[in-house]
Amino acid sequence: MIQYTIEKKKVNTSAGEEIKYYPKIVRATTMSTDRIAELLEERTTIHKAEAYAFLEAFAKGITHYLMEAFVVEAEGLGIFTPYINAVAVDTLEEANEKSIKKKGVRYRPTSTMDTKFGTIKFAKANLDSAHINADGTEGGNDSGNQGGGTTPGGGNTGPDGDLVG
Amino acid sequence: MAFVYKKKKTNVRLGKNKGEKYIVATSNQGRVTDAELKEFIQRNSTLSEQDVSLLYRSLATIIEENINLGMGVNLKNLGVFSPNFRTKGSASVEEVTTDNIEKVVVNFRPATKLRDAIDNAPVQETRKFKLKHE
Repeated sequence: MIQYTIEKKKVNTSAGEEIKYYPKIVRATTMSTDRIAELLEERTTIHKAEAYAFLEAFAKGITHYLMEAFVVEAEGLGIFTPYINAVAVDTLEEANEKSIKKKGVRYRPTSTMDTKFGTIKFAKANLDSAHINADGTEGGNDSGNQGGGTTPGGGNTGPDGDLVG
Repeated sequence: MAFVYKKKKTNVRLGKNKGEKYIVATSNQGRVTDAELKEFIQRNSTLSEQDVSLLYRSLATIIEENINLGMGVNLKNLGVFSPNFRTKGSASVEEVTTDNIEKVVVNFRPATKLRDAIDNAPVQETRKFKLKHE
């Protein structure tokens, strides 16, 4: 079950600036690699140190292939795709290494993961710790673990997380 | 090996720099399958093929279970996977229900080591110059 609070946001619509309220994920703590290795040990017959070595090799493998511009499809986890952001230039000759602004990696969860997300249950977090009180005024946030998204203050500007006004 | 790029002809329609332009884009070298990734892991560890398969399956399950609980998962040197919502807004607090949650999405924030590795990877132009419109 995933908990949510309510967040107040100013959004620009065709009618001008509006105040809208959005559910916002209450993110629990992030699980560390060490803890994952422990869980792997609990669930298999493999020792934690070996599980840790596996996790390191897993990360190394994905990095290795991404650096060679391969798309990596990790079953049950997702697809990692390398990308280049570059400046559009006037001539073919100018389109070279120098026009590259950024190199990075995009991630997309596997379709099976996507389907399973449809079955997740949600619960509204206690209003005492929510962003917005029932009367619409801004409340406290003492969870310390909220935030979320790729932009400060929550939300997600990525293609998978656009806010709908 | 290097980060391979290709040149593409593109038509820029917005901004000051409008018109027919050329741009550099990733030239993906193909798709690495599970089997290839498992083989790489096996080569780079002392684990057997069965162990790698078992750990691989268990890892995917652990990540999924934790995401479903609203937890982030940090894989050292790879990045952090964390759940987020795709939502729609309502005009008042009372109107906000679970129906406003359109979808649970997973964000991935690459680890510094992965970002640096990609950033510092040598780039190389693909040998075949195939422009999209030619």
